[in-house]
Amino acid sequence: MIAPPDLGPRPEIGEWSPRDDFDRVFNAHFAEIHRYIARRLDVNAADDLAADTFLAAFRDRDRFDAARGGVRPWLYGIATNILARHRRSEVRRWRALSRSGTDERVESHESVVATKIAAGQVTGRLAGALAGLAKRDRDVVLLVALAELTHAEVAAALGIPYGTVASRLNRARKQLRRALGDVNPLKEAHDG
Amino acid sequence: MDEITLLESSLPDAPPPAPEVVARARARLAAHEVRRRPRHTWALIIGAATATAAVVTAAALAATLLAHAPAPVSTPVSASASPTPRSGTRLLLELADRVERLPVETGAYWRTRTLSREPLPMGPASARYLIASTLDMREWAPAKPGAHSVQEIRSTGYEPLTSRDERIWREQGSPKQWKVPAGCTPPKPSVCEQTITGGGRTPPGFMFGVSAKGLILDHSVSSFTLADLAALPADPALLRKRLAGYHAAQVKRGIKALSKDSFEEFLVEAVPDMLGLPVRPAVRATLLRMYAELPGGVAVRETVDSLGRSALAVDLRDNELRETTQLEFGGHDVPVTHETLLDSLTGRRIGARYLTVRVEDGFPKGTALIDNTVSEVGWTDERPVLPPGCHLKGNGVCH
Repeated sequence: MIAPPDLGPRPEIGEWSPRDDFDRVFNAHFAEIHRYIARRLDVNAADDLAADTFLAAFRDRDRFDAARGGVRPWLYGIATNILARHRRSEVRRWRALSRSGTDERVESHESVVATKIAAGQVTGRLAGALAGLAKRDRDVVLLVALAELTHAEVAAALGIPYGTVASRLNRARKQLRRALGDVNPLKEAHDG
Repeated sequence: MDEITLLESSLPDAPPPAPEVVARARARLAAHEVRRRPRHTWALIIGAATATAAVVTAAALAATLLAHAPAPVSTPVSASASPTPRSGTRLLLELADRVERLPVETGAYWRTRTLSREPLPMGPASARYLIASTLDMREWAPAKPGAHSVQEIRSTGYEPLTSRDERIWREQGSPKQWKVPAGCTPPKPSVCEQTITGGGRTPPGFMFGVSAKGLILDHSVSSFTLADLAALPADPALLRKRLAGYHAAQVKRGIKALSKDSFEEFLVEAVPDMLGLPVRPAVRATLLRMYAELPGGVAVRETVDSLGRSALAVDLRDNELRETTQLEFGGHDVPVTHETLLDSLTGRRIGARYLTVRVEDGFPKGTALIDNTVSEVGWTDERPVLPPGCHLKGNGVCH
């Protein structure tokens, strides 16, 4: 995964904030927020919803509280709230992906057919499991997996206690592991 | 490899946003900022004009190309009103009656030009004066779907705002540099001011766009095409129903929260926004009547704007839906009131400004801390002037 852009100093040592320079916030984070939304919905929806996220953030920038977390969790929290309005579309997407194992809307440049089949099997099962997760558990696991937020950052993004993040993540991981069943890339990866 | 890593590596990735998507998002922010609270407009707008290479062409034109933006006539605002101005919501209703009879206009482009100023106080406490830079933004939205829209952004350098300010500035030796507050940014978070030099001008920036559907550039109320706007009903009940639909769409997208008063709060912003869009005179008349009937009432008075044009100033001072606003002025936050300016002839929105409500830093009550003046608005058959050597291609890129 591409590393998130450098955020500068952390809040406790004087992180620049949306109140001071929203242009910089936009430059640093638009692409990653767009990517997060596109991976959960699709690129076309991300074009609009990423812009909506930044507009909502801009309107609320005076309420940004660095003490409650950094800029990234704040933006991912807004994006996740906006995604909540499209929960049905997201579940449809995961279900479709679980059937095909590949995203037909994304051009694939992979050339090794065998790899595609194996990868497609894993993707399909994971997507099916995601479709079956409760939304609150799915939000947590995707914020950790796609946005690479820490548990504390997920807690800040969603406004939930740290312990709740851990329990939701634990529940989601169990379901993902169960869905993988006989396709066991976890073991293969460790072995290989 | 655990489930989380596997999830990240197995789920389909997404391509980065296209340059035009980034530019469009920036433009939405910029448009919002200019209209609402352009407190930090400069970085945002200039960034919008220069950051996205594929869509935005910042053309370094010769300084002589930058025509002087019209200068404000005076401050404070209250001093420039006519001797016997009338007031009351009936002025809005009378304007609506006049506007309703105006002919429907058309043209090749819907053109607007907005001049934004945020004066800054300078000099010792005993002899303060105001300086300001003018952000000059022109927008051309084509009537023909698929043709290019053009946004052109220029910025003048800082200079004394009025003749009074210029006199005091000269008495203090005509300084060419000033220190102004700035956002604290790394790597030196303690540095919260910057030095600005008078007279410098930034090169103009151009942003081009193509919309197959004919979407207009202003998305503050909804993503309208010109055809959508032309088809808006003038019937009050039907128009209100349409506005409720736009509000519901904003709630669905998470932009607006849903609350008991949220639709009325939406109208407070949406109605003046709609008065700045290319809607038919009959629709404008309905919007003006809707404005007059906002719950809590509005204060309306005759005035002149910073270009000396006759206008109606509408503010929500006594309206229960109006939020109290504070703006930074001279290093501290001061309470301000907001007013929208409507053209006395056409009913179109021709400006918005934030005014002090008391004497601040030696400047009288009514001093405009933010002045957005729409100096041109309407249909035209003129074509936008592109940067020298620019040939627009179908994808909105200037070659």
